[in-house]
Amino acid sequence: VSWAAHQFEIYAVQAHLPKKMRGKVSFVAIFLGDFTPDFLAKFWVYGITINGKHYGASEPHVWHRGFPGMGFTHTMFLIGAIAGAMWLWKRNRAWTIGYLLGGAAHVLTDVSDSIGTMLVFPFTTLNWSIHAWKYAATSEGGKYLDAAAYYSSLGLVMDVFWLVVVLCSWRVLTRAYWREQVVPADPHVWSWLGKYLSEPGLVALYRSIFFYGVCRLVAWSTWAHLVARPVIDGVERIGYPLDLSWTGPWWIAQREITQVSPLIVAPVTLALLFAVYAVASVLWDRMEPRRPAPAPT
Amino acid sequence: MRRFVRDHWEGCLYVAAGVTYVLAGIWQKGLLNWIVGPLWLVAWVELAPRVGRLVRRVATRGTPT
Repeated sequence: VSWAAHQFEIYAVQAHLPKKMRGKVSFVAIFLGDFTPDFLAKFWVYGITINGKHYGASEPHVWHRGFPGMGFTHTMFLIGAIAGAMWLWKRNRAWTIGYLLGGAAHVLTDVSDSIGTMLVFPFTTLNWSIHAWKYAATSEGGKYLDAAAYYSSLGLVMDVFWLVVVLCSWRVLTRAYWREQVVPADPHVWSWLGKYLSEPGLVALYRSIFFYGVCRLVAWSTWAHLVARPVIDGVERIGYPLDLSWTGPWWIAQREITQVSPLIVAPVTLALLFAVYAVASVLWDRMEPRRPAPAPT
Repeated sequence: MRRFVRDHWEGCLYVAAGVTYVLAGIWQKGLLNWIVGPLWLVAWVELAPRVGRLVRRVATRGTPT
């Protein structure tokens, strides 16, 4: 599970679009692409409790990322299929490519925890993971334990890394950037929203995912390390212990799923990242709207 | 202080929104979600100036001329 990293990476994608796509790829589509995997799979991971009875996945990690389950939502296959359907329906390359890049960011980022994603589904249902931190979504611990484990492990470093990436590209958060690069790619969406919001409100809406990412990073980290009073190995502690070692934190059990060797995951993930950008770049040119031939004089 | 707030009005709104959201989120963690988070900021930016104008108007009316 990655937390605020998913909020920050959409701005990182937006800020690092290939030159020919700048001001032309839909930010809303990048957001939707990044949002889709967890929107489809996450709710049942934590489940809900009604009148003391818990409804949810019995094995959250298998449901979320594995097969059988909703693991296919975290695959390039589903993201590519939805992007393809989008193209066939609307012939809108700003949305198709935006969705593809946003979804790919989510799928590739989630390789970092101990469960990972089915990167090359449907060719194999093996999960790919670099095991940087332990996947901690459990039916007993729910969202709280998941947050505590994530923000006590290298997950915290992951969030901070993406935050720094965005801050290094701080122009992506400015009003001028929004006017010049974001609105022209999505004129209909922003003009419709403009019926209800002032310009400062529209800019705030554009920045709001970043805002949410920063706030949840600060709030959950503060709660996990200063407010919570967990009992670990029979000892009550002030805050959950921080463990920035590889595969941390030590105080939560490891979940098992069939996986490929971690040694090949990092190079394959990097290769896939470059492949996604290369495919997006080629498709971008091929999807260019054809201009009508000039009438003979 | 007033001058600083006037010169950095938008930034102050963002900071106020962030501080209140983090504190509210720590107290009531159900607020830390995809819907409330973004709307919290938009609500601050859209509504705070209107509330400010309203308060100013009421205060001006209440002042004897």
